[in-house]
Amino acid sequence: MSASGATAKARPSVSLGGRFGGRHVVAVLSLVVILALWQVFGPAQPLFASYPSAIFAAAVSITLPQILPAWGTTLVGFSVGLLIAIPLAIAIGVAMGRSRLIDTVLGPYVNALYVTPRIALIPLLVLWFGLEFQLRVAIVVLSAIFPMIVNTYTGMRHVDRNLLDVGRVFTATRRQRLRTIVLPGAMPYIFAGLRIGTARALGGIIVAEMTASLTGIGRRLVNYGTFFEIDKMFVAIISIGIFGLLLTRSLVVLQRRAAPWTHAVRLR
Amino acid sequence: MLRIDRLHKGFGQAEDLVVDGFDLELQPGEFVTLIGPSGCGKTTVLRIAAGLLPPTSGMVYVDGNESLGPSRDKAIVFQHFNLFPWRTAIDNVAYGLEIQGVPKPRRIETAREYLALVGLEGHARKYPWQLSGGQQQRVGIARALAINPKLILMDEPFGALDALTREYLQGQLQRICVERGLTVLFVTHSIDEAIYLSDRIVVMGTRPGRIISEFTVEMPKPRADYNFRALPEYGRVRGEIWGLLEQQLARAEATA
Amino acid sequence: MSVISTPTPETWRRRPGRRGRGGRGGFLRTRTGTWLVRAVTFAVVIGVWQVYGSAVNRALFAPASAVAAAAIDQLTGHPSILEPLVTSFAAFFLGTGIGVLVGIPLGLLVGRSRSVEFVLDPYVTFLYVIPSVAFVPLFVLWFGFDFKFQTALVVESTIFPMMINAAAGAKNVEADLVDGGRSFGASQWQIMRTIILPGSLPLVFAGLRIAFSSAWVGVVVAQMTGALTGLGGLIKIYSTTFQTANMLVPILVIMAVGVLIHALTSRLLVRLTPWHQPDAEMSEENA
Repeated sequence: MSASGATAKARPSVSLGGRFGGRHVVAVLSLVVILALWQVFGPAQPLFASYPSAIFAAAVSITLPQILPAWGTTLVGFSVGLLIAIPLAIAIGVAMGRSRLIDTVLGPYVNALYVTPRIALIPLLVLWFGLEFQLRVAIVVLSAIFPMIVNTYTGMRHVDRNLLDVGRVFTATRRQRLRTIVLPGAMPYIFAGLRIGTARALGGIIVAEMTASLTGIGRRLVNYGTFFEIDKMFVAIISIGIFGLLLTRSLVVLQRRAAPWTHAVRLR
Repeated sequence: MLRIDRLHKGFGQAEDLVVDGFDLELQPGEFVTLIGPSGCGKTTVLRIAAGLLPPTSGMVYVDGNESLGPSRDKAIVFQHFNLFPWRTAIDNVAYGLEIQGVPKPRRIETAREYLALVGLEGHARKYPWQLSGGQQQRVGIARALAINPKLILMDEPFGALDALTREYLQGQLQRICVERGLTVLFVTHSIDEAIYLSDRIVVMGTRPGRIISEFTVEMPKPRADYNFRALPEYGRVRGEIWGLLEQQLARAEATA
Repeated sequence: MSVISTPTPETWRRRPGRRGRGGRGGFLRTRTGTWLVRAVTFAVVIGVWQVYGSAVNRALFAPASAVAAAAIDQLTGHPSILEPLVTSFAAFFLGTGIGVLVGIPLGLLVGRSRSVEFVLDPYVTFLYVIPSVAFVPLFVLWFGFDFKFQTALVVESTIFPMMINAAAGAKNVEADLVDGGRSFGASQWQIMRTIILPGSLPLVFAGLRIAFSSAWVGVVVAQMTGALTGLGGLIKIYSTTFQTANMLVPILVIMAVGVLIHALTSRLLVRLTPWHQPDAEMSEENA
């Protein structure tokens, strides 16, 4: 991906069928074993670990009336926050990449906020934004924006110099080089920023809901815990995991669609 | 066509001279090769001619006009292809026209023509990573030709390719150059490549980079049509150039 | 962890004599210029903070001077901020230690053994995408509200990035090198020790850096959601009593420690694996 693409060649996918077949068989087998053990030993500790059949029963009974509505509330704040954070982050990242003044002024603060636990700010955000929608939006923006800015900026700085030369030879203006070379070149980084940013936003929104809100999946999770409803708690945790997976996978798909040349994305 | 006049180029604080007094003139339709050992400044000359580097002193003229920056008259083919990985073959070829503001249908049509010229009409929708090295460089050549420049600069364009692909592309390039009467300034390390392609070969020496000799190759083109390597002229030119370069290498060895 | 390679920043050089980034690039490129601009920015930030903080309700925000006074108070007087700081560090180091010591060998195993990978990979992937905070209610039930709970959450925050990076590192070791070892008759264990381990070090260290950052987040999350001790607990306590100036002190300390951890691990990374380009920006992180 990096230099000139001279050496970039399609890597042959090694016997995809056989490998993934084996992988799936092993995965299913190990899952069956784990569930069986859990089912056998879990009931002895009902307040501690629950067990698969109870969790499944809980899932059947609460998914529609409780889990999905809670997710609905959470996701409204999550999406609005991302809709604000993504364009803002890319704009700031590009501005920092283009202007040394903006870079010098904002750089230290962006980098500091990038590496600090922003959840520490939640109590302050509660004072400013209340307990619900605005708080969610605020924590999502705050969690997602810095990794995205840093990645956009880093991507712009790492654009292949040789490709910029091509632009110059073909008399591209600064603006044309930004559009045709710098931004596409920064794409892999921007997508990495999206992955980190959305993951952090998910963490942030759940912490906010657990510590402050009266609704949302985070609050549901805490409530189940408070009333020792372990089976339901597991349903909530698993639903968070499923959402996390969906989020990561959909970003991979999006990247394949929107930037097919960055085919070397990792799939985990 | 192209005239390079008393070119000097120094780098760094001490302004160590990399190119010291380089003069060259290319006639329209002429294919001229710069050859020399590593560090003789041939790539520097080419980059200055392309407008990618400013000279310390001296001037570059195209058709009598000063031409120190990049311009639409000049196009370059790079050693490592430098295709845009995010553009398909045809969009890579259309790049220069897009920058010039040519409307999309027209530039795609032109790009298609040039892809066909280099024999890649079937690969228009492929990305660079889906093409072999030789195919990638053909896209690179088509991209340079597509803006219809007066002058084409080539910086060891076949240096990163295997020997067979290289020979094949040399033949293709010469055919295109003869058909279209292109004016080319070409940089290479290979004496054989220089003789195969050139009307004129300029031999450069190191420390500082300068012209030490010039050869005119009289064999008729396209040379792929006959065994030009069997002609006595080939052996004579090859021997003389090697003699000069060997001296340069020995001198560099001794002073190193 | 990321498969995308990163070119070194040194390949990016500005060309003199061309229009640089921003018209005033010349002055800003000097050290004095950079620091002057930063100092001015800092002064403006503090000034705006002071003015705005004084203007709004004291429960909502506090001026810089009030926070500074509170900081001096908490550093010297009673209740001191040092005790919660020590509590936080204890959970941080213990949890990170366990997470790293378990995560690296497990990760190397996943990277080298296909059967182990097939078994563990789905669980690691699934657990890694769950923000560690989601485990808080469960861990409270398992480990109580205090130190054990904090440590457990830190282990949870560190073990997966560690495993994933160690596995990626072990996979990244070139097959040719392993074949080379085999041709010299090296045993499985010798190959692990002499080839796989050093070969995977760059990514292991990169994982360490992510782990340290997530560990600090884990400490704060644990203290804010469950334990109500340490710096996180201090924030909670001050926030419920609307002592905003006091609350901002632990917040700023937490951020400063975060910056410090990142700076130290980055420096360590460069020192330990100078041949490897650190690209934390490209690594996946979970907060």
